[in-house]
Amino acid sequence: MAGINDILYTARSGILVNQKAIQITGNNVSNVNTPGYSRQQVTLSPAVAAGYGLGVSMAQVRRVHDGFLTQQVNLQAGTKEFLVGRQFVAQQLETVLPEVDNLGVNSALTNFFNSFKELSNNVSGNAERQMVAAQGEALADKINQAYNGVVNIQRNLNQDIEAEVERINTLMGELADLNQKVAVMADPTGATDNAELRDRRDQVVKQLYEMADVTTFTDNDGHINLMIGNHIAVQGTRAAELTAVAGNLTRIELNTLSGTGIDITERLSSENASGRLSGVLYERDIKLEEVKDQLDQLAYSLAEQVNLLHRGGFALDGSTDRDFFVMPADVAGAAGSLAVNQEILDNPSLIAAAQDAAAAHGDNRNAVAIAELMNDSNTVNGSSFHGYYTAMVGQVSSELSDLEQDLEIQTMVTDQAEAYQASVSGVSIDEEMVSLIQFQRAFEASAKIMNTVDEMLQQILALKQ
Amino acid sequence: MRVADKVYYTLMQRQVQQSRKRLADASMVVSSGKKVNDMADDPLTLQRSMRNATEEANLDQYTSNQAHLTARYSLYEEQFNEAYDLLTNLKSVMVALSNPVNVDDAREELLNELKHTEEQLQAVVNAQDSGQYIFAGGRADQPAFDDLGIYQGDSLENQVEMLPNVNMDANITGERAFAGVGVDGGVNVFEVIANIRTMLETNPQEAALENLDGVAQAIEQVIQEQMRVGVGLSTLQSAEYTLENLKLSLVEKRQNFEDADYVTAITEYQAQEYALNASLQVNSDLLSRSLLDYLR
Repeated sequence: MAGINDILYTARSGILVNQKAIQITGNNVSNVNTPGYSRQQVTLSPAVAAGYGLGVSMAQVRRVHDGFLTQQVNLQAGTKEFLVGRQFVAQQLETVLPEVDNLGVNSALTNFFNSFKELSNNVSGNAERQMVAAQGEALADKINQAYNGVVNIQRNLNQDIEAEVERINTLMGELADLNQKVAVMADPTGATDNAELRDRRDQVVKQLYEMADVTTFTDNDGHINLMIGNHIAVQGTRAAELTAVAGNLTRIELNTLSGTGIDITERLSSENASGRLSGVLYERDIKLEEVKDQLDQLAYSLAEQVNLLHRGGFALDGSTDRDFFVMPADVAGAAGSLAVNQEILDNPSLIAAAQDAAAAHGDNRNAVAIAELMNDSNTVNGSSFHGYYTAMVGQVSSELSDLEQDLEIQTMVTDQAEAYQASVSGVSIDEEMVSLIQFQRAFEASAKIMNTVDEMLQQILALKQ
Repeated sequence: MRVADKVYYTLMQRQVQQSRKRLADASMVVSSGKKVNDMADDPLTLQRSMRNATEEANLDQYTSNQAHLTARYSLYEEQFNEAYDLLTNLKSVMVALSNPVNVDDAREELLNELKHTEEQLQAVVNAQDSGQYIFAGGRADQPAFDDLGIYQGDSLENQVEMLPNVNMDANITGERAFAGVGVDGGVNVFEVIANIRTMLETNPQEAALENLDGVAQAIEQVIQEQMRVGVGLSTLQSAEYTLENLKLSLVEKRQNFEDADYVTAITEYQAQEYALNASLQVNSDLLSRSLLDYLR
């Protein structure tokens, strides 16, 4: 049978354990808004000795955490950030292709071909010839601007990509460091689980999912290992490094743990990748390249078709076989270099509006033939110039629209996953207040027992007097 | 499901953000009067809008082409009228002098008339517009007829598009009207005049009688071209009307798919405003309820 002092110790355990529980509750309340914080829960168990109870003990203080939900949040956040990265880049195309305000290549194409129609009204008119040269130059400028705008978007991303790579390196280093700390500071009794360190590590992993195309797995030592672009980047307490290789378009190299450098740019820029960096790379290397290719094709075909007719026509001085546009050497890069023949800019009388050298001052047939190219439905890859360009803008517009919708849906899905995770790990002030009352009452009751035992001891001591 | 405080806050943030974005979008439609304000708004409408802008610019070009054609045809009309007047006048003089009282006087009068007609016809057939000889075909930089009345131009007749896929001759050469080329029984008006002048030396009466048919044929040739010009001007007039209709139809089309319907836009704006207010009110109400309020 327990002695009166045992009761005192029992009450003491109640006071201490409930005090600790109130501390945990206070910690939960304090961290209600801390990102990545998992609420902690106290597990109490009866203290038993020699067959009878000796108060309460704190069996465990553990963070409330569901690994499956955490993984779901990471995956959904990675997918969401991939779309965010894509949208960040794709939206910049709007300034390069200002078709909503009708200030882009479309109207320049129309004005160019209509200037030939105007010339056909008065083939020897100097003003009409000046206008054709000016509209040709304006069209070339618009196509150059669109192309160079895309190139500038790509190049301006280099700095962002380098900064992202730095941040990823920092986070991978931190993950390796946290893997070590979690292992070193593990409580051998199992009463605590290094909740703060594990929360921090989960946060780092989540940020890595948001930034790059990563996957993780936990090994037998409890380390979270990380793969990036299908290559091991963090293994236990060791982290590899990414390098941003400077160039027109910055590439990304993974310096693996074995010391070899692997270019993972292509892997990261896959359509099925995740993470913001991958979204940016996908738009830069796939989508923007498509836009550039299409502008190149438009510029090349335009120069080719107009020059073909122009070379066969005659200028006012009867000369012939002259290109209107400087013929690009190749399709690649044609949009960036498209320009009107300088001879024509200097002397618009060299515009070949006639098909008969002897009638160069009155024959408008070549001007009409060039103007009619506008209506030819087979000038660029089976389309008209306008049709081809409109389809290109339509494609960009559709992708932007789809991205906006996909991002909205993915944000909801991610929020939902985070809500599920928060429903397990998040702090509820109301719930904590109930716990506070619960532990406070237990604390008060334990103190009351101690008072009672004290009175009992006083009474026992009074027996002697 | 257990509801953590974070869930409340996240949901509230998301709802308010969404409502604000929708309100901003709705206000953009109201203030711009356009359904499409950025590329992501409506890809189909954007493409239609681009096509429409091209069509509108083309219609403006047709307006310009029609104006040029009308000015040119009006000039042709003036010149053919002038030629007709000159030739009918010559014919009247010739008819009057076919039975003269005084041969010498008749010769003198006809010679004067011939000189005047020839000079005036030279001015007509070598008429210019903006430095171009309008009857010379493609060789518009040089006179259509030389001093001897021989045609120097070519037979090129330019085409100009005046309506979508509808072309029209932009010039009329002088070889048919004044040189009779390609006309059944056609005459060169200057040859007829030269012939009269030659015959006048011997017999003014015979000169008048024998060349009446030649002058009549020349008049007929001019009349044919006058008719052609008349038909052209009439075609242009109806083309102008067609063009106006096409423009109206395009504007209407653009308004239908591009311009915002203000009733719908303002209704949408108000609906979004209500939604935002409701969202703010509900969320503030939810957040103000806490167990803390009951723990005093």
